[in-house]
Amino acid sequence: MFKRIALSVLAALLVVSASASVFGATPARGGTLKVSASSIQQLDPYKTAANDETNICGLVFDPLVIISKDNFKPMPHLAQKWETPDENTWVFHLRKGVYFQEGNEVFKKGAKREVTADDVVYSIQRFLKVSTAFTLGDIKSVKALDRYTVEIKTPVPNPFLVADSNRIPSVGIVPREAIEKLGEDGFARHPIGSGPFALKSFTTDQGAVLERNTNYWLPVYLDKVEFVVIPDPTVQILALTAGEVDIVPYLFNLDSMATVAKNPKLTTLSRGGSYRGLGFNVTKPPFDELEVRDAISKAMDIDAAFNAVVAPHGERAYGQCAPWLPHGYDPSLKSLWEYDPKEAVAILNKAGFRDTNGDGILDRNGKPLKVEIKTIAGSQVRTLTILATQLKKVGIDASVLQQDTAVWVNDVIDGNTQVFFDFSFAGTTGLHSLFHSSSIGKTNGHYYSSSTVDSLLDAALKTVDYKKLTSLWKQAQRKIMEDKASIPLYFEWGYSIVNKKVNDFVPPWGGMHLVTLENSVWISK
Amino acid sequence: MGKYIVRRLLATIPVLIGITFVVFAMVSLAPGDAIKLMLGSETVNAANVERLQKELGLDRPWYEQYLRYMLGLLKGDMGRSIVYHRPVADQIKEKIGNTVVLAISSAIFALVVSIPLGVLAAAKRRSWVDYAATTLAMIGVSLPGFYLGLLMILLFGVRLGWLPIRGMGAADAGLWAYLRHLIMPSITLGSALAAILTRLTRSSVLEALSQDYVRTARAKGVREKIVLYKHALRNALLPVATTFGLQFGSLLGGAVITETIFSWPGIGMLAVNAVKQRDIPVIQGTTLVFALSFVLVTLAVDILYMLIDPRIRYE
Amino acid sequence: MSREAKGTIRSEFAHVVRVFFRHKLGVVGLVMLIMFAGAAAFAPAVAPRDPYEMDLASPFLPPGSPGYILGTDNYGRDILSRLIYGSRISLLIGIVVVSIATVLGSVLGLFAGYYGGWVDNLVMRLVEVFYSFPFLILVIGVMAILGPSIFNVMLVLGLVSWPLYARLVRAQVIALKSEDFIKAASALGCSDTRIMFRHILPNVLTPVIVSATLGIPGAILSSASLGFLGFGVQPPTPEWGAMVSEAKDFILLNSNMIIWPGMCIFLVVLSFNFVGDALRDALDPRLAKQLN
Repeated sequence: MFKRIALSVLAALLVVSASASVFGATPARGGTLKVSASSIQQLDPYKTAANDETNICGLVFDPLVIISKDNFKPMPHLAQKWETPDENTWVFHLRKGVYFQEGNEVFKKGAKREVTADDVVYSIQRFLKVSTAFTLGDIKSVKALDRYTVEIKTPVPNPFLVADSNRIPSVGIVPREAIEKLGEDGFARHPIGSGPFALKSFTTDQGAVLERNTNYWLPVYLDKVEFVVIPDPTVQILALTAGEVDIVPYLFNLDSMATVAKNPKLTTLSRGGSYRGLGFNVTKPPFDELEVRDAISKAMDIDAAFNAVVAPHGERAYGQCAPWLPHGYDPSLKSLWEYDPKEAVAILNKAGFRDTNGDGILDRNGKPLKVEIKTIAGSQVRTLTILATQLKKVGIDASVLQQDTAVWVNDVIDGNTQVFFDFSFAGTTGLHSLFHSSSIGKTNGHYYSSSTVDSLLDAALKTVDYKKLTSLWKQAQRKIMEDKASIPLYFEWGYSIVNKKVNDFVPPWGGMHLVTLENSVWISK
Repeated sequence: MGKYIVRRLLATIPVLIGITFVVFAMVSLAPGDAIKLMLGSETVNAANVERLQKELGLDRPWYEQYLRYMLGLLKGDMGRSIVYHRPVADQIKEKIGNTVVLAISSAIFALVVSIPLGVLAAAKRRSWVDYAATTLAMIGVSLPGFYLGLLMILLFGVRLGWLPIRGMGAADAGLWAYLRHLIMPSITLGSALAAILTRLTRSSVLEALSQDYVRTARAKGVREKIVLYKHALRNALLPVATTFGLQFGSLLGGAVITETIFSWPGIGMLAVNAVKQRDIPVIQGTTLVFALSFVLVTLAVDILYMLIDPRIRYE
Repeated sequence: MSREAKGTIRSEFAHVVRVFFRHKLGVVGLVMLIMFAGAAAFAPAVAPRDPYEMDLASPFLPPGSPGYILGTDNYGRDILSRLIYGSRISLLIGIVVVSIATVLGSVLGLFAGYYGGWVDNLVMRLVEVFYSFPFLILVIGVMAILGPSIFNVMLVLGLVSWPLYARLVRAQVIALKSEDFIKAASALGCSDTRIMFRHILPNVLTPVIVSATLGIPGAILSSASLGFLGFGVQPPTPEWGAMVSEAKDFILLNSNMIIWPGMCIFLVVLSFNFVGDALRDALDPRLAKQLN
């Protein structure tokens, strides 16, 4: 009798361990994960000025919702579920048994201070007041319906409240006691949240060390996470190659991919990316003429430039909405763009541009057709240089002007440009930032203003019905592309480079999250 | 002596005020400002940014801002960083130690290398030691700092893996690890100074050796070594010390490039980044710190000079 | 000028040349400088290719590849051609910067030393302000306003370097003011400007020339540092410092790109130092003789 039980138990164990090895090794416990960072100045989650600060805050604090690696959908985290009883109301149901980190200046060991709806209300109100880098959109009210339920009301529908990684997913829940006791500046040096890792030490622009939160509601395998500040992107890769760090969360320089690919110890993970295009200031002659913009788009062999510089780390773009966005990606826009240099010259001729003085450059009324492309440093400079050379061949005197970031931003905002490097991290509201008339003087460097597009975008931003939103968004995008306000070049993938001994790492999107319902990072021995 | 010091210190005040004015005028004229940079971000909360702008008084005319800053300075307040939302004084306090350490270790490297080498070269004039030292010195003065740094990273960091490539290492890694991180940056920053001092030591020792009192000592039969060390060296070191003092101030300025290459978190990097971001309070603060330290070092050198050579007395 | 005076000058010049050429290193430096200057002056003829022409199919070619003696960079541009055109920029910057600084500094130093009083005070205060300014920060700051371009780099570096020459000239002028021939000229009714520029200035030129020769490499290094930090001459213009900065991003992939521009900076600066040293030795005893 016992023998049979023993045998079946043994058999069961064998089956379980066999399937464990089939479905993936069991995570090993322990170890320190070393992550590179470019700059860490302060750690208040609502005052972050750099991606790396957001990454650390993503470990110290829990947001209500996290963007999943599965198709960028919002995934429950601190909120177990949420619903929208009407288009202006959001109700979040919090998980029970989540506690703020203890053993620090604010919560003594064993304090067992649970995260409640009041904390969420406090956090969101503080975020609205204090955050300069991010916004939630218009919020009418936030209140706690009971200990674990929070209700947010908006004056107009806010379809991206939960789906945009920069909105609710970026609001880590903070304990009011910590801010009251430590003060604003103190809290920025000693952040305390409910996340999987608690901050142990932090030296500005040197690094930060975080330790496992033993009370966390999900399994945490790592003992420590260490952020090492290395401002220079090339040196970051060097440090990774030398084993001094395990992860480079953002690859700044696409050219390093060649070095990284050769290294058998490293693996590259991609997630999201950025949109890169050639933007026109549509108020500056002669770029205020649709024909000129159209001609320029036809004069460039963008595929050649893309293949020479970017491929295979991206794909050609024909619209501004990126393939990884839940809405708006429209490959059918390809039909609007073609490479036809002869046609380009014909269009320019018809518009009155001819080479009257034989210098190889088209001119009109004595003024040569000059294009100065203003850009900041980066891999796009090579692409733009190639495009400028192509334009020169067609008779357009094109040149690339590389500028210091502050100067470039200044010029784009002030409209002191003709053609500029157009670039966006392609968030959910990208079209609005780049092309809505209300964004002129801020992010709409095109100075593009179309009442059709404005009303389409306005309507879309208020539509909670996903299908309808997508349709409105695509219509707006099509009109913008037909107006050729910006010439899409390509989407460049965003990469994290990871040492192969790190498992279950998901590249950051709205902060770095090492422990969620879908992953918990561990290091192979 | 005391009166002299006080007078010198008082004289620096108008100079420092002049510097703050020049900096302020420059940054105000520069295209782009920190607030605009924030507004250029796609996710920005424009309302809060504009509120921040009003809070910090950044929308007021430049003379008003300047006055506000100077008044704050009198109270000992260096303002707050626009970009990082924290007091400038805190940022400087955190970083200045690192730059000072780097400057001092570079200076030590320069002295330890240059003085023995210079003396040896002078003592064994026209020998291979002399030629080697002179050539090395020439190279040290001609090699661009950033080039030397990059070559060292390539050789010692990447190819040989002997030395760590970046930063200062973890805060709790211990003294030896810290020193290892310090080696390459110190050599990079100190090599130019080492080269200058080597040549200077050599030439001043040579000059001292040709003086009358040395010939007298030799005639009296004093041993060569004692002649060298007791008589010649002491007098030769004076111009070396002066030059060293003057050049030390510029070490702080040269630290910018070294800090950038080696990711050494010091004031130089803070200043360069602040310029890129148009973070006016930080630019003002770092410039003042640089200028003040330069002035203080120059004063210290002058005082030292007066103490060593009683013949020198300034009006 | 009397025939004796002309003769004296000619024999002094011959003396200087003789001493100079006795310095082996000085000669080596001079030869190298002539080579670089030649390359700079005749760049279009000497350079095998257009420094801006990209051959995207052949990036990172090693030295010795057919048609590309020193290889290519990440854009497939010929490194040798870029180095040759780069010498134009570096040498031009070095010479113009020092010219601006010496002219400005000498004039201010002359006035300060000669007139004394409030003029002297004003100039010395200005010198102190510029001297105490962290050099690199000032330069970076001004670059941010004026914008990076070759012209602005030269202007800014020149404006920052003048205090050295002002101080030098002022000290010399003060020493010379009490000399007999100056007092005589004044007594004879020569105007101040005449005294300053025709009598004093020629005699203070020697140390200025030596300092200038040694100041040129400093200017070249500074502009290269600016280019390296990204504040100076912008790509795709082939400035050596900017080339090192661009190459830095590919340091793991290809070390060839980074070696050559750095070597060029090094060699040019070294040559100037050799020449400056030799020049100083050649001119110095004469100077000592004269002041006695």
